[in-house]
Amino acid sequence: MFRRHGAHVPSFIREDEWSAKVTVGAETAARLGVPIGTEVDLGTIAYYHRNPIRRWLGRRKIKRHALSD
Amino acid sequence: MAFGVATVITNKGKAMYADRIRTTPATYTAAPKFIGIGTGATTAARTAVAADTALSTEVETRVSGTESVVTTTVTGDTYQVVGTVSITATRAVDEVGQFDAATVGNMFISATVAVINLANGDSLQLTNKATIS
Repeated sequence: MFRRHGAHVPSFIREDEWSAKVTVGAETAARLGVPIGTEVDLGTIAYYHRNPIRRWLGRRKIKRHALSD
Repeated sequence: MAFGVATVITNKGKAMYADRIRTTPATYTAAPKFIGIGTGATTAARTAVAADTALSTEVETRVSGTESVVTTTVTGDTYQVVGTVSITATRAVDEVGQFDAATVGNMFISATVAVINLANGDSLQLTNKATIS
């Protein structure tokens, strides 16, 4: 969520709030270890990309899936 | 200017408010309900400002959002648009715009946002609320 506070607000019209969420496709679902179509917030997406251990776990999970096919 | 997170109603957006409130709008005859995303703000070292008229590097197809009037403080004081953009490739989304047309058009809101890393097949749902206060 991107929130703009009073100090920056122009007169009369306030652009109060942008919010966003992601519905994951196959690639991101595999990375995160969640079902396709799962709704996740931006914090989850950002956490995955920031955290190398999480990335490593994601890759390992993908590899496990590939081996089981 | 360095890249920064900001959301602004553009100068055009303010003109839209003024024009569209009268009986017959003269200039801005379409609602600013089209949501677009881009990936160029960080590279361009751009922070959203009121003078913006376009995204730095627009990607994907704009979506025609669903409009509604909702309540923030007093009844019906907020114009809300919700739209879902389909992602077709790996994207590092860092800018969002709201326009009055599916292509080009006039920019109503310009936002530069913390990077959202997305992959092919993801869908990004965006909700914007513009409040009169």
